[in-house]
Amino acid sequence: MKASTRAILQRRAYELARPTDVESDAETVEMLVFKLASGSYGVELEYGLELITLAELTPVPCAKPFVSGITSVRGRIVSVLDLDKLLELPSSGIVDRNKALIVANEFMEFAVLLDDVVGIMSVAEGDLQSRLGLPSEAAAPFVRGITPDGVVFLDMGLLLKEPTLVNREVVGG
Amino acid sequence: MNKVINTNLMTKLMFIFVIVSLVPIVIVGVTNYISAKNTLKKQFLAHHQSIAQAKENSVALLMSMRMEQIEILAGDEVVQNLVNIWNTNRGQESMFVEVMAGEARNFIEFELPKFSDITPFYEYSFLGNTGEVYFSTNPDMVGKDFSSEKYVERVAEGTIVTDIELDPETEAPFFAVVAPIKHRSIASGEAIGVVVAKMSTTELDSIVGQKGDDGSSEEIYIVNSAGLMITDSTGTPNAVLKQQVDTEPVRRFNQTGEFMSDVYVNYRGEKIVGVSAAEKLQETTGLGWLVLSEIRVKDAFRPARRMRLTMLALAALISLIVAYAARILAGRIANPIRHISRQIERVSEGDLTVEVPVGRSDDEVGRLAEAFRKMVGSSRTTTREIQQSVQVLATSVNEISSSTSQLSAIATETATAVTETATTVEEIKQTAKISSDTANEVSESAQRAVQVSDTGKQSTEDTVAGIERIKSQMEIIAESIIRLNEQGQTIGDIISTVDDLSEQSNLLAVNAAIEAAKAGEHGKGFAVVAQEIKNLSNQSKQATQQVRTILNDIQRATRDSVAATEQGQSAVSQGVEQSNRAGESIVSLARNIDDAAHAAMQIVASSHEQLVGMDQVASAMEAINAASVQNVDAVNVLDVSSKKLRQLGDNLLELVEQTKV
Repeated sequence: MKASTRAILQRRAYELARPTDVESDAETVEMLVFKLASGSYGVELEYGLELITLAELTPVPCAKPFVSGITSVRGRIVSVLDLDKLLELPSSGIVDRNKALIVANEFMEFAVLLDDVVGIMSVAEGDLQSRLGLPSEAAAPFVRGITPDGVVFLDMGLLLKEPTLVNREVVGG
Repeated sequence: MNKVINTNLMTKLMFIFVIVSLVPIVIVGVTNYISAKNTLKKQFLAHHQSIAQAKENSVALLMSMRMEQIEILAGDEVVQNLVNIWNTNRGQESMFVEVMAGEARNFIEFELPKFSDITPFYEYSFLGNTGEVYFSTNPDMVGKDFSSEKYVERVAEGTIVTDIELDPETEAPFFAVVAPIKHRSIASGEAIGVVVAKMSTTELDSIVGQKGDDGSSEEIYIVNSAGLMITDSTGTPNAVLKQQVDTEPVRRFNQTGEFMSDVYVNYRGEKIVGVSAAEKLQETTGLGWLVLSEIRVKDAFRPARRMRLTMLALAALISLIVAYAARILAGRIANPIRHISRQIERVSEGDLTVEVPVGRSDDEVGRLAEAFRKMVGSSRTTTREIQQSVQVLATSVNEISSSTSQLSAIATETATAVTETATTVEEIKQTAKISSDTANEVSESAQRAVQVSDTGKQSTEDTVAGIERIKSQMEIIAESIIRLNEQGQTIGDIISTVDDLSEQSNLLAVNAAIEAAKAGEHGKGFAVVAQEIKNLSNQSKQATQQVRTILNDIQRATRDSVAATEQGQSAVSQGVEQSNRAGESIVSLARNIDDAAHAAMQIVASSHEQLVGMDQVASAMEAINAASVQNVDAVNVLDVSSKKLRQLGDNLLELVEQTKV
């Protein structure tokens, strides 16, 4: 290994090795941050999160427009939603997205499509700002706040309870 | 005549036709004529033979009849008694005699006419044994003595007929039948007297003179033993006992007693067909009379002559027809030939403008006309060409004449020039020596050039071999680059796999972090590990991206290398080709230099020969000088000859222009 490469790795090691922020006394929330076309969004970890790679996505007829389709995750059938369409976020057009985040509570479970995973961030409740700079009007009911970094903190609990997500329509009925 | 036949084809043909047609006719005619003549002759002879014999028989019969009559008269008793008494009492004058005379007169006046009425005798005389006439119908005869007459002696043997005599008074011809008178008192049978009965020849004439049916020239007459005619002749009047007949049958009869039946010349000198006969007559009278029946040959053969005439007329008619046919036929042959001959005469006079019509017939004459027409056409063309040629010839001769004059002048100039040339030749000789030296030098340098070019040739071959090696190595390089390219693609695939793996490990790291966060305080250490894994996966992703970038660079460079290698290969190929061409050029240059060296050698030899040759040229120039003088003389002679030629050309031109085309 060359000396320059070693130096680079050394520097990176130093950068990675810096101590994490000293936890403040204030109540902090751990969230998973991911990227969509319109920006970065965060989700609380308590909703049983898991990242999956979409091997295949089967479209469902007569489903709502924001339902991209269904997929199989270790034997379970999970519906896959498109947040861009659900929250009427600005879209970058047709993107071959192969990653999804599974969210669940005791009533509901689905996956949302995402562009890229950033990582886990901690944010203090106090640092969350009001709902200024919302990405869209439709997203407003489900946003808990925006971090100083510009990450939109989504309230996944509300979204999981949202009755409009459940399709009651019957074909031909 | 001969000339006409020889010069006129038509007449000739007609003549030949007529001759050819007449010959058989003539032969047949002559044969017929001869055979007819012979047949006629035989027929005539047979006919006249029978006529002559019939006449002769009639005459003989008549004679024997008259003789019998007179014998009957002589046998009359009255006559016998009268004569007997007369004999006894002759010379006595008595009453008895007177009575007897009266008896006799009575007999003659009354008895005899009974007899003479049936006989043609005109005078009867009764003679006694003394030969004296006792009594007669003619009183003048009484008392005459006939004892000297021959027949009085001959009569003793039997009745006879006398030959023809002329009456001394009347001059009429007569003959007498004499018969002996016998008396029963005379046992010896001697005659006591003679009866003489005269008779004219008219009866003979009437028998003999009976003509045949045709009449014409037939003549029958009797000739006595003296050769005198004793009957009337149709041709000659008053010929009895006057006309001598000395012809062949008469002579033959008198000499040998034979008869004749043939063609001979008669007493009038005419040619006749005649027959003689006398057999019965001779038996009866023994006078040697000959009956002749004659007819002129002319008349005898009249049918034959008529046939001959018919033949001649027929022949003439046939020859006329043949001549006419021959004239038409010969005209058909001769007319075109005459026409062509007139045209040929015109051609021979030099007039080739004659137009010969295309022959209608396809026979020899038609072909002759056609051939003549072609001949005239071709000869017209030929003559026209000859005329043109002669005109050209005349012009050429004129040009030759003037050229000869010029030649004469030029020959003189040549003589002068030759002298000058001799001088020049000497100068050239010097130059040739110099050029010989120079040629030697050239030859040496050429040899050196040959060596240099050999070296160049060797170098070129080495170059070609080197370039060939470069070429093969270039090919190896190209193969390696292609392999490199393929391996680069394999690397790209591996990178994709690594990329995929790092992506998944990133997700796993996040999931691990999530799980660690869920674990709370206990999971803190694990969260750090998860973070590290995430960082590592990020780094490996970055590294793969760098590798991919580098790989892209390598692939781009490889593609450039492939292109460069291809260019290099083509350049090397061109190099091979060019070095081959250079090699060939050098080889041909070496060959040329070699040739040049050879040529230089030859030049050296030649310039040596040239030197020698120049000496010979100098001596030759002397000879040329002498020859040019002779040339001048010869040219003068040529000048004279060309003038004559020109005259000849003019004559020829004149001659050719006489021919009309």
